[in-house]
Amino acid sequence: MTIAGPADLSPAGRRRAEEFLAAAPVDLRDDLRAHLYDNLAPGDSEPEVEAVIAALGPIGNERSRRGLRGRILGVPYDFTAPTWDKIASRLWNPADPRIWQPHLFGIGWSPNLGAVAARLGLIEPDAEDDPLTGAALSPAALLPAAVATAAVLGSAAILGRSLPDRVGRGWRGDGSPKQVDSRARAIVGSIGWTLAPTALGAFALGGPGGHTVGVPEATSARRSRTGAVVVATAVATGTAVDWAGTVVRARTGRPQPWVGPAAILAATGSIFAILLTQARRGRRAEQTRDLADPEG
Amino acid sequence: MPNSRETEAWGSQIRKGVVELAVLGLLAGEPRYGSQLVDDLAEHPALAISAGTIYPLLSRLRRAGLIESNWVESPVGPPRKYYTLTDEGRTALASMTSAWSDVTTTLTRILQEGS
Repeated sequence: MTIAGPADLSPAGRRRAEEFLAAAPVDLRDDLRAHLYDNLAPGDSEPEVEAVIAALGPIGNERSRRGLRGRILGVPYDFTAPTWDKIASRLWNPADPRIWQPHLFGIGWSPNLGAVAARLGLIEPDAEDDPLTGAALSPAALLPAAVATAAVLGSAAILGRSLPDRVGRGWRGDGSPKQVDSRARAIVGSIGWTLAPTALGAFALGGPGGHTVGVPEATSARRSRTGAVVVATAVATGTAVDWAGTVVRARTGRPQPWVGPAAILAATGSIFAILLTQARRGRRAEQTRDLADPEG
Repeated sequence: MPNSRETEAWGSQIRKGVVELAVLGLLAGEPRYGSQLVDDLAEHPALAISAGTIYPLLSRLRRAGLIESNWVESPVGPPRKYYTLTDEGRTALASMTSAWSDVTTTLTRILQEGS
């Protein structure tokens, strides 16, 4: 069960929840609030709120977490766990105008594609109350990963045997391969690194409440599924482009400097399309809820 | 003696602290959508904020249960998301208004005594 806000709780439950959040570390408050809303039911009172809080376990203090994220010489770093939910919410936050956010995991920055979409006028900053949670994930979200997998499987079947015994893989900026592998290993590796993520994405999509209409789903669980599909898409499309570089280089013998930028473009473009589509579905779901006839 | 840059920074800090109260106050009057709030606040230069500030603020207020949103048909163009105060929001507004009144009354008195 989930609640929309503290008003859904009993007065005693609301008081306890507000006390807990007021005392919580500032940097965790939003996440803790979302967790409470996802795990409480309308009308829940103090005992139920206490049970959810107790299940969280020790939260730890800001000092103990300080080492995991911060800035060095102005460059942000974040070594806290990269959960699916965190991935989706960092990559898509149209309400936040900053295009570059601290990296999902590691040092540096990652793009907030939601801010890009809002600046381009493709989506309103507040299109959804909670980004990527307004609607169940569409099966079409798996299309880029599925196409990447099909492309690798098809080209491996048709061209695989004509490739030399040893082929290059993983591409440097100058177009030279980072490693040279046997043809068989390159084929198996490319198929594996497209098929496995696609299967993971399909599992995330088709799991209980994945895209089954009418099945309620906790907010963060829905965003987590989107995060899983996004990661699957990035890996599958990147691998497919890498495989394309392998094939082209094997046939031409020339460096392939386009592979790196093309992989980034393919992954980013696919992820952008998935997230924008999902945000629009969420907006439409909210409008269906609020308007008599969203089509006008 | 603070220079103009420091004074400007201080003024910016004050604005950040009160813009939440200003938004709740505007929503107490009537439901409004995001860019409408930006335009309404722009009429008061001391409280002017950008679209980049209003939406994260509205998101935070909504998650805190102080406001709620609703899509409404627009006579011109696509539907708009309007924001209204919740009961908790009205209570919070009353408390914040009282606290603000106390601060401004005290500060005004101090400044008058000092001048």
